Parts: sequence; structure tokens; C-alpha cells
Amino acid sequence: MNETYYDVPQPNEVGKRDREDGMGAYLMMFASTAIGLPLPIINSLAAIIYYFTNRKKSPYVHFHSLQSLLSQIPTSILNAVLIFWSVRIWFMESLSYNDYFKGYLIATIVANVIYFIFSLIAAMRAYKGRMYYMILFGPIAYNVAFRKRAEKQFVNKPPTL
Amino acid sequence: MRIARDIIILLLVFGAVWFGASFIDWSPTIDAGNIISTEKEEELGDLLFEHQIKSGMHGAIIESKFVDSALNQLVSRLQEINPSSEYNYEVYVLDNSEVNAFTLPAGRICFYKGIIEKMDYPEELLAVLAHEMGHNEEHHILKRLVANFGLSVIMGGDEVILGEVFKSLGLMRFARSQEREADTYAFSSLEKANVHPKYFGTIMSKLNTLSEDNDLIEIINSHPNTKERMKKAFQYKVKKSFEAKKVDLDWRKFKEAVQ
Repeated sequence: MNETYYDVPQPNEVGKRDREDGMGAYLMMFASTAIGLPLPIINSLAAIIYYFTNRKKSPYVHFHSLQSLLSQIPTSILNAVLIFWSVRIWFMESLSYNDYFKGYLIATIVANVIYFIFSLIAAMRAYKGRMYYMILFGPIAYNVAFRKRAEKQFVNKPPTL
Repeated sequence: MRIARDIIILLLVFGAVWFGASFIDWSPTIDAGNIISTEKEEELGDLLFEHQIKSGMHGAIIESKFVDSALNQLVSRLQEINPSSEYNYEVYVLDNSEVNAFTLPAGRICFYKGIIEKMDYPEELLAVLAHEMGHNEEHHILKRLVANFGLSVIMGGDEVILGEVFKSLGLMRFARSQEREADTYAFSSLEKANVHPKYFGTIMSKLNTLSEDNDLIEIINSHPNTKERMKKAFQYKVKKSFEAKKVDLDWRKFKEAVQ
């Protein structure tokens, strides 16, 4: 069909294991977000580890774990900034609590809720064997996971004598 | 291309939510003015007056017959046009060279001598006074107290607890919508009292240029709306029948008396 991309698998072609791994990519993020809430870096680390352990499994799993990893980057950054800002206000008192902070707090909560909802939808779709493309992250993840790469074959050579 | 477009969309949406949320008014909607009786408000006013003013926290009250009669004259000029007011306003000038003016519950309004120093006309004093009266008439102080400490603490009436609460209480900060309401009250009562609301704009602009840290000054602490509020004062359209009447007060003598 397309020479540079692998075919996107149809729901009936995706094995149960792949579906579970695809769903797991999103659900794992929730677990690590809950654990890593005070320090967003922890869930980013967990996401990266999950991605690198699963990306070789199949393009389907690769796609979902990468989309899950990418989609949490913005909220992780927002949360990190929020924590940094809050610490500056309440502990270092170098910044003041103002309307912009309040607005940022609300916008960050909204962003987290949206991230949560879309991840949940993606997890359910992944479990059903369906592809689900989030805005921005979907096409990037597809591009990485489904693009065909020229496989480098290792060639055994005799020693130089 | 598509990626760039998506990034722009996400940034714009986030930015819009951020700035939108920054300008939403989160002040409580409890109508404390109706829940708390006038007597209770008087009690609170007495307590706060005791803790914040009589204690000398903001500087001693400047006592001068001339100042008192001048202030009474200003108050009555504004009260004449609102005879149904439930407050008997008492106005004090405090011996403090910082620039500030604020109001306590039950119509006790305080000016630091520093703010009077910045005023060039008695009409400016009248304008700030009208604004502070607006906070009283709209029950903003009670609403803020209830919002900060909860109705039970305020209604509880335990003098010791209230005393401690008030000690920790800085000057009252009002929500933007409350500043707007007080402004609206001030403009209309100034107009009725034959004083042009532009004087509110002139004093605001003087206070606004004082320092960067003017959050401390109650009447202009609702950044970033100060400019908009000044504009409203300057552009206020008085009725055709409006006729400006000067405030009959020897301003130089008044300023000397409070120094």
C-alpha cells in the first residue's frame, strides 16, 4: 500500500497481547502520574522506560506507547512550572500570588483533565485494537512507529590478516 | 506544516484558558450583608477599630477640631444624597506618612496623612471617601471577612478568637468586581453631590505613579484594571443638569492641620 510505512493493522489483526500493551501504555501513565505528582520528572522517567521496553514489540504497541509518552510531555512541563511557581510563592516568597498564577493554576488543571480524558479514550481504543490519533502527538507517533526503516544487517567479516 | 499548526492550536487554546481564567472573578457570592445584622456589624467594627486603629497599629489618630469638622462636612455632603444609608460614617486621619486609605466595617473610614499629602483638591478626598463609602454600602467588608475567615468565626462573636483573627488580618483586599461596584457607587454619588467623578481619576493617577509596589494601596490594588478604572472616571458622562459645586474647604489649612 505504502512503501515507506507499514500498513496500519485492522482491529481483527491486533493480537490480545498487543492490545493490552497498547492500553497499558496509557494506564501506566496514570499510575506514574499519581506517584510522581510532586515531581513530574518521575512520571516522565516511567514513561520513557515503558516506551523503550515496549517499542520493539510491534508498530502498534510502539505507536501507542510513543503517543502516550509524547502526550504527557506538555502536561508534565505545565505541572513542573506550576510546582516551581508555587514554591517560589509559598516557600521562597520571591513571587506574589496573583491573578495570573490563579489563571495558570486553573489552565493547568484543565490541561490535566483534558490529557486524562483523551488518554482514557486512547486506552479504550487501544484495547479494542483501534488506532487513535491525538492532535499533534498522533501523527508524530505514527510517523515514528510505522515508518519502515532500512534494516542494517550485521555482516560477519574475516579478520584482517 | 500540520505539526506546526497543531502546536499553534494547542498553545493558543492554553493561552486563552490561562488568560481567561486570570480575569474571572472568584469572589464569593454569599450575601454577607443580609446574613449579618447591622448590630453584629457594629460589634465587628468596634473590635476591628480597637485592634487596628486604637492600638496605634497604623499610627495615632490626628485630633484636631478643624480636621474633624472638615471631615464631617465632607461626609454629610455625601450622606445628604443617600439618606437611606444604614451607616453613621466616622472618618479618621491617621498619623502615618505612607499613602493609604481603607475602611473598616460599620462605616469607619481611615486616611493616612500620606495620602492627603498627595491630594491637590478637597474633591479628591471626597472622591476617595465616596469610594470607601461604596465598599460599606455594598457590604464588601463583611463579604471579605466571611470569605477569609468563614461565617462561623465571624458570627461566633468570641471576642478573644475574633481579636486574634483581626490581629493577623492585614488590610482588606477587595475583589475586582467589588472595586468596580465601589467605583460605580462613588461616581454616581459624586455626581449627585455636584462633584465631577474625574477627581477620582486624578487621585488614582497620582497614586498609580507613586511606586511599583502600589498593591499596598487599597483603592488601586486591583491590578491590572487601574488604567481602565481611571479612564472610566475621566470619561464619566455627567447628566446635562449637572452643575459642579466646589467643596467649601480651605485645603491648604486642612493639609497643614494633618501634618
